Amino acid sequence: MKSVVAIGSLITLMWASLILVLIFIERTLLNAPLPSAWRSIAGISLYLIWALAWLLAVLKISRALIGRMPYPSGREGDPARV
Amino acid sequence: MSTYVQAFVLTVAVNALTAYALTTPMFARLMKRVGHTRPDMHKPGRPDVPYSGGVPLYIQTMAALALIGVAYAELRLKALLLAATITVAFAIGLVDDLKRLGGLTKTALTILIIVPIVAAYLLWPGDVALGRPIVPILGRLRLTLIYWLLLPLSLAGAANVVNMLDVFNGVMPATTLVASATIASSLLLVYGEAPCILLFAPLIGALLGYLPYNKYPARMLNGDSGSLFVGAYIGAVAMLTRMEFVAMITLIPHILNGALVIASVGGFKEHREMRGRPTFLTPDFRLAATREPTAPISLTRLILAIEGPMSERQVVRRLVALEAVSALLALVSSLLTPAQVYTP
Repeated sequence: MKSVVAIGSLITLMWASLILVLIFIERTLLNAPLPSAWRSIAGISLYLIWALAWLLAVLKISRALIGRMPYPSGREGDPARV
Repeated sequence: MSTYVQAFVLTVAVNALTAYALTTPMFARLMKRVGHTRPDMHKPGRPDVPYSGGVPLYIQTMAALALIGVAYAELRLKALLLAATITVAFAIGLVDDLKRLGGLTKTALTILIIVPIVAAYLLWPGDVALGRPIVPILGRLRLTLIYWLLLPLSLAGAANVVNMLDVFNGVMPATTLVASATIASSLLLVYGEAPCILLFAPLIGALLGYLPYNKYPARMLNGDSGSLFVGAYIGAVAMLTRMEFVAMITLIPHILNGALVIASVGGFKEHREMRGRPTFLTPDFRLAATREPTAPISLTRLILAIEGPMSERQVVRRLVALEAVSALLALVSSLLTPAQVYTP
C-alpha cells in the first residue's frame, strides 16, 4: 500500500494548504483596504494559483515517477483502459 | 435514534434489499438476453458482461426519492429537483451507452445537468438556496463570486470525474458509497438532526444493493448511465445542502484523476481518441503502467508506477483506500465547521 501512503500524503497536503488559503483569503485578503472588486479578483486569482500550482506539481511528480519506474515494462499485451 | 436517522436507515435497508434481490439481477438477465453487453477487458477471454448498470441504479434511486418526496413535505421540492437533475445526467449517460458520444460532446452536454437547480433557484429563490457554501473554521464562504463562476461546471465536474474513475470492477459504487456516506455523516455533524440526511438514503441504498454485482468479477457493468448520474447526484445533494466543500474534499481522488488525465492529454477526449495507453495487461493478466510519454497520466498509472504490476482487485483496493483517506479529511473538515442551522 506504498502508493496509498504516498498519494494519501499528497492529498492531505492539498487539503491542509486549501484550508490555509481559504482562511487567508476570507480573514485577511477580503478585509484589505481595497475596492471590493479588486479584493474579489485577488481572492479568485489566489484560488486559481493554488489549483494550478498543485496540478503542475502533481504532473511533474507523476512524470518523474513514471520515468524512473524500477519495474520492467514486460511484454506489452492488450492495452488496458485508463 | 432520531426519527430522521431511523427513516434513513430504513430507506437504505429496503432500497439495498430490493436493488440486490430484484432490480439489478432482473435487469442483468434482460440485458444479457437482448445482447446489450460489453467485453470485460481485464479478464482472460474478455467475457461479455451485461452493460448499462445505471438503469437499475436509476430506477431504484428514483423509486426511493419519490417515496421520500411523498412522505416528507419539507423535502418535496428538493427531492423533485434531485430527480430532475439525475434524470438529465442519466439520459446523457444512456445515450452515450447506446450511441457513444465524443469526449467533448459528452462533457458539453453534462453542463445541462445544472439546469433544473438553477431554474428552481430563479423561480423559487426562497425555497432553493444557492451560494455561500459551508466551510471549515469560517462557517460560510464570503467570496461567493467564485461560486457563481464555477456553478455551471459544478455538477458537470462531479459527474465527469466519477465517470473518469469508473475503470475497474467495483470502483464506482465502492468509492461513491464511501463519498455519499461521508457527506451524509457530515450533514449530521454540521446540521445535527435535520431531514436533509434523507436525501442520501436513496443513493446509498441503491449502491449497496448494486455493488455485489459490479465488484470483481463483475456480473454487471455500470456504463456512463451509472457513473454520470451517481456523480451528479452527489454534487446536487451537496449543492442543495451547502456541503460543496465537504463533497469536493471527499471526491479528491476523482478530481485528481480527472485533472491529471485532462492536463496530460490536453483536453476532453474519450478513451478511443487518446494516443497511447496508460496501462497494459501483462501475460498473466496483471495491470502495469506503460512508459509512453504521450499516454494519459491517471491515478491508476501512478499507483502502478509506484508499486509495480498488480491485479485489478489490488488496484481497486488502493483506489478505495485513497477514497477513505479523502473521506477522513472530509469528516475532519466537518468537525472543524461551526454548527449550522438547516433551513429547508
